[in-house]
Amino acid sequence: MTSGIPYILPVVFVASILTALLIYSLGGRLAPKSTQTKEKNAPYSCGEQGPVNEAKIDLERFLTFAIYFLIFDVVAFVTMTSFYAGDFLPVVYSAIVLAAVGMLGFARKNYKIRQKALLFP
Amino acid sequence: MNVFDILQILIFPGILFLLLLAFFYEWIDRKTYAKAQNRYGPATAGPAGLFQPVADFLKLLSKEDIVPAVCDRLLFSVTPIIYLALPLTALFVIPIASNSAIAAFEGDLLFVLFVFALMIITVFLGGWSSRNRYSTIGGVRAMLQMMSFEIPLALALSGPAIAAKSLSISTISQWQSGSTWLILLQPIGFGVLVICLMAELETAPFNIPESESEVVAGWRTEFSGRKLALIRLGKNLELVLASALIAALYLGGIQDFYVIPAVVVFLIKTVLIVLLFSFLRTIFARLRLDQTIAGMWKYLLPLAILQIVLVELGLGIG
Repeated sequence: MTSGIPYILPVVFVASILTALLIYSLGGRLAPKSTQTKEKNAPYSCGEQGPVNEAKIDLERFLTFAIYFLIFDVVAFVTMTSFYAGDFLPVVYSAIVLAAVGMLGFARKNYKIRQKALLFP
Repeated sequence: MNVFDILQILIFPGILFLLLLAFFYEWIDRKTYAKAQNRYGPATAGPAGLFQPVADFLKLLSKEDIVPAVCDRLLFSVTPIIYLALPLTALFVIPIASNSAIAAFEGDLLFVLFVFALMIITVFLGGWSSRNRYSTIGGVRAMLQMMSFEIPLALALSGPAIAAKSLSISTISQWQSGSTWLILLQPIGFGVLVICLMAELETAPFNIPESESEVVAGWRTEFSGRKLALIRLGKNLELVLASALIAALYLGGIQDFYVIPAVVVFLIKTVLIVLLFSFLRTIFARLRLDQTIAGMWKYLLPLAILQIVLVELGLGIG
């Protein structure tokens, strides 16, 4: 049955890492010595001269989803552990969090202005 | 910890068994996918191409390992190792050859959820450390997709936990032998879990992070040789993990069934899930990123919440 202390899990994780390292070093033995040329070391860009500067990550798209993600993560955790608590306590917690989502829905009306103030104060 | 425990971790039902299983499931997946498209699929190596995944793996291992000059070298080399080690570790908390898993503890359901999230973060780091346009785009796509399917995934996993009153996969699996299968009690949760795990595996309708013919190979464009071999093996292990998780949580669990040993039950149920995954990925075409995210937030999340509300009302507990 389930034991109290998961002492075996760290051992398993170390064993998995060692397995991966073993395969990795085995690949180093099997593979031919790598030769360095300018073309080979260039990043892949379909045979053409790629752009020099790094690609920018679209922060704006991330932020919208990240806020919702954070809120709903709390809901998921509350429901996951809800059978330990009393009858209506998880329902109350979930209702509070869902009310926060509703607030966010109102706030999104002038979301662009708020985000500009947040990112470039 | 004695010799028996070490043998269990290393050979059966441990690392060696799981690696062989990963190759076997890749063969099943590729063969089914090919048959559904009127192709032969892997056919040359071994009977009916059974050893083709192993041959592919060895071929990749023996290829030259190219690291582009602009890459973040350390992160680029560490990512494939972590990508293989994470699903391999998570498979030890799922019962395979006995009623209880080797590393089972109260709360390992959360650990599996954590591993699923961490694998996508590894994908993002791998794509980002490549410093390649295609890789960065693939990593960002994987991250955005993760933010949309992670919540329904957690809710779909919490349905069985509430029903069995435990956060341990082994306990949930055993609880189902005294009750009905959870797929009959919570069919919506089963559907949500299958869709979320398909998004986690980046298979066909949700393969926008590595969409070939669009962003070369997505986040793994720059990986080659032994690094690509490790990533492919990690992907196959993730397939084993996903099918084993569904079998343990929803398909009546993995335990001894009268005289049939638990391993046979495990193999039958997980192969069924792998066949389901292959058929679904044959049927559907690739969704755009905005379609995926909007669909997840607008339809899948309310469905998952509906299932939880039904469970909290006392329906689907059995």
